[in-house]
Amino acid sequence: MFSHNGKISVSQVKILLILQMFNTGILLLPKTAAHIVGREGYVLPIIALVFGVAYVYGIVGLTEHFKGETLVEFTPKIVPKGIAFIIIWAFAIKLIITAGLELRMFAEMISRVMLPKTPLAVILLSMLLVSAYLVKSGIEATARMAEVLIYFIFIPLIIVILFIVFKADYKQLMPFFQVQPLAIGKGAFLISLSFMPIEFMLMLTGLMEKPEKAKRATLVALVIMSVIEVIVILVTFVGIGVEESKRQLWPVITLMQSAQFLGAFVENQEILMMTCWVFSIFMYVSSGIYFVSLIGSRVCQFKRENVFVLPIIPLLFFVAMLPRNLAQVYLYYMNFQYYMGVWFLLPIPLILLIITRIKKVGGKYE
Amino acid sequence: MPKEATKNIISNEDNYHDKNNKINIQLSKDLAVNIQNIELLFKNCMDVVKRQVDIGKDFPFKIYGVYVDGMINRDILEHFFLGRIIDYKNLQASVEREGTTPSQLIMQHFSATFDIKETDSMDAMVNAVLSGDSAIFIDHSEKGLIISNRAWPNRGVGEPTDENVVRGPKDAFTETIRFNTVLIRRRIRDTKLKVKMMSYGIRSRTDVAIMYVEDIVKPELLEEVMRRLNKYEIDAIYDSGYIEQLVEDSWKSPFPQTQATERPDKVASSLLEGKVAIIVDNSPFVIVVPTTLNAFYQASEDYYQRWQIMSFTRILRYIVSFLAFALPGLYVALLNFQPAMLPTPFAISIAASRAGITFSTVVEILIMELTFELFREAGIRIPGAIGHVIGLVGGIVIGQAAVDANIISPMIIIIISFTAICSFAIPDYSLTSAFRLIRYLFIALSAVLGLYGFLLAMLIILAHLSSLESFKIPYLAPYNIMSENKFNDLKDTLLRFPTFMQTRRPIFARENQRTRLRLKIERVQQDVPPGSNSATTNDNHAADDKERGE
Repeated sequence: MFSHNGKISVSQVKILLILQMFNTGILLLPKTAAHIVGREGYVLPIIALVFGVAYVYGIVGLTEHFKGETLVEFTPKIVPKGIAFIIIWAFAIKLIITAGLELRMFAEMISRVMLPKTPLAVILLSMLLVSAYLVKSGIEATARMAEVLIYFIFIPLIIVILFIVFKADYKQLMPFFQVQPLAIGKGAFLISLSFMPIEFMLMLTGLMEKPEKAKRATLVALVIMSVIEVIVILVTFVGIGVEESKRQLWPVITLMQSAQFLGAFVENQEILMMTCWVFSIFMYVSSGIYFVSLIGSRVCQFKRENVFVLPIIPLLFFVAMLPRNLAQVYLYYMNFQYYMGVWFLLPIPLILLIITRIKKVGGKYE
Repeated sequence: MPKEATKNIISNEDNYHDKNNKINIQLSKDLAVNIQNIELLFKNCMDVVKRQVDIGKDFPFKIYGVYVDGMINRDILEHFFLGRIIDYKNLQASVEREGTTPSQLIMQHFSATFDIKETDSMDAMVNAVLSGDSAIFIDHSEKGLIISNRAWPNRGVGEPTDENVVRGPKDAFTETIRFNTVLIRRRIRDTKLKVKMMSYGIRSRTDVAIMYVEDIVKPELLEEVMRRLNKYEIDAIYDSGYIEQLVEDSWKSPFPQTQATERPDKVASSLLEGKVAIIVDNSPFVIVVPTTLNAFYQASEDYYQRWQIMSFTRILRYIVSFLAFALPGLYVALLNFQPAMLPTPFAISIAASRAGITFSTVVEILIMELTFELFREAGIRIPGAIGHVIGLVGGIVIGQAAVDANIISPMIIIIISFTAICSFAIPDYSLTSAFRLIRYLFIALSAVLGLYGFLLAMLIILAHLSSLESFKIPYLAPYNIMSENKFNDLKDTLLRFPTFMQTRRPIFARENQRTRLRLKIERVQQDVPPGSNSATTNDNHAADDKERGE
């Protein structure tokens, strides 16, 4: 039987990571790619994989030393308690800010496409409360939810993409090989930040049934995500054009608007396609709330993981409401990702890993 | 009367019932004491027949029989028990010669019925009487006899009323527990099919049978079922619905977490999948645990007809069940918030049909939903012949009048009627009831936040279902644990794969007992020497599983 042991399977980890990476950032991806390298932007996710693999090796390389432990438990073993305390809470604050900004971006998108007259606060709070409802049931329920949502997210998306690719203008991609290597490097780094949810592995590895398979699971999720990103960029470029992708704030939504379904019963199908992102953002926000709550519970050594779920909601709401308008959210979101996003992806895990190896703390798996 | 014996006489009926309402005294060797106790226990119970009889002609030996009038088969008692012994000459001499007790002698030499047993417990004797057996107290014996000759009124085995099939067995469970266990036993002629009996309810002492296949059921599941059954003490249960609510995982959920069925074939197939059946006396519905959402979409008929048509029906059931809870909410969301999603001619047509309607769409939907619930409830309560009229009056007369009076639009009538038909296409009534309830969540959130609210309602329900379990099995299995059991459980979900492909039992069964079908011819050719019989034993099954690397 399936017991309440708070552990999740390898396939659940893969699905969770894929859904977490498939967030609002994907809607902006073609714009970023078009800005940096133009029509060959679709190669960026493939190059970004190199950065992604480095992140995986940094993070999972570190967690591999501490079986069944999360960042909260193993950091004090590596560095002095004061520094460990700062690292742990910095991570929690980072998660709150990222989830908050992600949520605000999402609310702006919902406001634009679905509910132009509804106050943002209502959209934000409703999503936060529904996320909290899931999170209070623990990581097992969250992982099972992810396994169900993946159908709701990707099946409609595949259908839409199929409709688009048959009517696309492939000349948009030509001529090939016109791009500067430096731009590709910079672009790949920026795109690699869309893999940010890999940092969840700092907590998630400790909750896995088979933590020894964490690296493989993360790499598989990473490769799948890169392929999805390549497809999304390619389809957007051939669907609405590279220049339009640069100009539009949400090029993927414009792409959905442009799709014409033969004999379809619905019009303005981009609204229907929002389903994918509502579900995906839900998973991201839920994970954000869950991990911050887990950090709080473990630091305070509470038995229950969901004690901090409700107190986190006002914090996330505050962060989400902080930017004044859409332009400011976009700016905050991009800047935060660019300057702060990478810290827990590579530098901090790498430093901790080096210290771990020097001090020879933790036992590596067989 | 011996001094020791008088201690056993009860002065007050309340004094010898313990807190669980069990009679905590033993039988006395002195028949007079036992008679006094029985008289006191059954004081003012005029339906209980009590009689002392002398058996043996020359040297009479006293026995005292008790039974409830109308609950026993008197032929067995009178012809096959009393008739054979009453004229015997000297029972005492036979007892001394055989070196045995009177009760053993009667049981072994004079009773012409197999189902007779000894007991020294007054509680067992009284319980047997109340259950429809006959109790015989014997003088000079500390043990009494219980003759199983129940013959209470029953309506026999009928046809299922809620789970009809076009093709397949037509028998259904009834209110008599023994009939129900027989209906299952007839389908699984295996000694490993076990029946554990227990009584439930301090006062009702209702018989409850727990059935399982010993080598297929997971021991931890059986343990959990027993633990939950023994968790509460209740005064009485009148239907399996009581047990269902006492053993379920989450009382807050509107979704059924056990499967109640009136079909013996469904229970038999569930037992062979490693599930446990709980049969309650006086209830024609047998509970099967654990269950999953997917199980509610599986009808018995799915396995008796061709897989293509039944797979199509399955998909249809999933679609209509979505519509059953989502359609009114979706209509509210689209009409109030996202009318641009509707094709223009259709949107114009709806707008035209709503011209002159006083109420908002939400109020319209709620009026119709509640009216429909009223019709449904009235239809059940009103006597049969008039009940049909209610449908006509409600559906045609009131509906048409409401449209003419501009209270509701024709589109609402279509939406609500279609939703109702969809909800009746779901094979399980409990699931339909859950959908009836969550429909209002969808309407409420869609009314406030449009399609976004509708999606939030979907998330709430999915989050709820993801966290829900039935006896520690995820409720959404196998959809959210696909890789378990090597993806085999998916062969009986949205699509019903052909029977020959369904080779493995689902996750409920023990891991070494997952094979349920294999090619017999192939095995005969490979393993069995020509001329010898091919044995299909469980050892072979286990070997198969071993070969598969389990």
